[in-house]
Amino acid sequence: MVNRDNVKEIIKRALEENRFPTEAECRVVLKEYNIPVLDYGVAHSENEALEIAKKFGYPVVLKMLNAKGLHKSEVNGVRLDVRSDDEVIKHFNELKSEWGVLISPMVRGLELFVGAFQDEQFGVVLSFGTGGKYVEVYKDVSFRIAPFDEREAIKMIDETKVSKILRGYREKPKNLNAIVDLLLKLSNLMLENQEIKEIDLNPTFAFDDRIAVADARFIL
Amino acid sequence: MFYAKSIAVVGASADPTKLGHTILKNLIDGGFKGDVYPINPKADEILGKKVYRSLVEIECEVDLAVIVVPSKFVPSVLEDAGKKGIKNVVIITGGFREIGKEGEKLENKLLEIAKKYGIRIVGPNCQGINNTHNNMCASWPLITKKGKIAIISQSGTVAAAFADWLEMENFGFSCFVSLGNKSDVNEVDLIEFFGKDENTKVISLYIEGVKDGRAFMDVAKKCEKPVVVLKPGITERGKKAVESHTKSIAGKDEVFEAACKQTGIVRARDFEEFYDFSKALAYLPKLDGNKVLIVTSSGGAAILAIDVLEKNGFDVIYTPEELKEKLKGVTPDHAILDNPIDLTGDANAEMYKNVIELSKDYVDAILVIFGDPIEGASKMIEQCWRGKPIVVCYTGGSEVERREKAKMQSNGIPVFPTPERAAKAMVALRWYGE
Repeated sequence: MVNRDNVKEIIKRALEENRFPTEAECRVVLKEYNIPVLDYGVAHSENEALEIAKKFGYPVVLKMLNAKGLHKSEVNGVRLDVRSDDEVIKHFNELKSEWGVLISPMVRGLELFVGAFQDEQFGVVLSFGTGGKYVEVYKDVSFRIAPFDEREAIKMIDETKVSKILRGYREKPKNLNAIVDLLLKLSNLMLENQEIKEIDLNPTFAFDDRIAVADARFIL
Repeated sequence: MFYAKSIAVVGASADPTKLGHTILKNLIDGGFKGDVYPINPKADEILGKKVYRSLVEIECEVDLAVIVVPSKFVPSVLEDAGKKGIKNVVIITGGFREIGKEGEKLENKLLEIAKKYGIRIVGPNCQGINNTHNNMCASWPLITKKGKIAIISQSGTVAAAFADWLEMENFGFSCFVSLGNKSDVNEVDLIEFFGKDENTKVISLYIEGVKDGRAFMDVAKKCEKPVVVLKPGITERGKKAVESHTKSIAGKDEVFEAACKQTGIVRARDFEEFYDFSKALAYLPKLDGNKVLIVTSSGGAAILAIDVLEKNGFDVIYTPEELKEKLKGVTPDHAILDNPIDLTGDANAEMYKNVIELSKDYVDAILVIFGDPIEGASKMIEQCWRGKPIVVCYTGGSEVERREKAKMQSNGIPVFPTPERAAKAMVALRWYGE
């Protein structure tokens, strides 16, 4: 069940404070909509950071939290493949802010892009395609106007090049239903919360049997 | 509006260089069966018709008023129309929203008056309407050939050129609507109307933008006829400081494209496709499936078509052995029986006919390429013209081609001038069939 009060509260607070939700807040909203999110913890001190890293086991990823809707990788806000306590402390101190630092396990999977935005003419538009930081370069993305059904979601996925990999090009096919499910849930999230103007879930990892959102950014 | 029985032309003129003259003349010369009332305060008779000083002076009922007076007089004419109880108005006059603030104010005034009297407006700033099935050319140029395609266009020129081609090719159109500024009647109203119009089989729409995206999608989805849309893309817009990836890669055009895909609209990429797709969907039968056989007299022309077909998901099948055996009896020894079936330069109409008849059961559609001056092509195609779609390309046949093509097209059989255009027309049939 979606806890709409919790979602509305997060959005309301961000709007009142004239800022965007932090990635940690975005993840809470996604989880309320049962969208699978990669494991994470938020550390406010060196000790907390070490504890979280220990829980996941090395290597881990440390990410800056901010409320300005920045592309984190463009401001060197993402530290990948962190492998020791010393490194965790060093990166924690470089990235820390009033919001803390987000820590996740370092995982490998196929990078997908999932997004949504409000269009002045047609309302909520969903997008799907090849993920990663070169989204704009590859432009392997398809679009659909929400709401739409599972059949349309599959057509949308199949329009992209990455769908060939998902369907098992040189390796095991991935779980397409999990992506369809994510698209439908994200479209609900957008339709029910018109204050959110744009969402990027990039990357979203596709593993063999499941998917997980590894980065989330909302623009209000 | 489109089936009006009596029409007033406000701003009718005796001067043949004025639009107010052209429109009145086109209504008369086009054979409009109802009453036509020219309105002009300074004339008594134009083109043999009694002239009225104003709309309110007309004794009989008027269904439609076409307004061609200068923009500053349009509001008072519209008031008259309201008082007279006229519910449909076409405003040809320009000088409204398209010229800026002042014009916008004037256009809003029109909308207020229209609302007060319950008047529907096409335009302003448009090229009028022409319903051939009502012999009603309230527009220019005068075109009377009745056809199956409704042309709705935000550009008068695109519509006029489209209509002109259809007439030249002996197809004609059902209705022509120049949208102009779309102050009231817009694409959504017209898709709904022509979706139900018994004389229209295909709705061809040129628009530069849609007013209400959701309403547009709803009406397109509900429409049971093919809707072909040409909409120029809008290039990269300015970037915001804070912007998501999703928005920066989604131009307006990608969103519109998604709307088309979700509603079954056939989107044309350019003017040529717009014309070809409309023609194909209006005059060719439904296509179920993607298996194609090509019958040609030119190998080169067939290869050009195959490229387009294969790229767009068609299966240009290998000729089944069973069919090959049958074909051997009706083709010359040197003919190539792999698909494309190449009858080579000494092909004649009889050979085409035999191949088409024998092949029909093996595929979903046949692409016929006449690549030489082949006499009797039209008669032959007419004999085979039933059931599955036969898409015809006639090219490189000079005099004979022109004659045969004209014959086929006057019988409602579309002929395309290049193999690629014929193949693309087949692709459009497939898109709609899905």
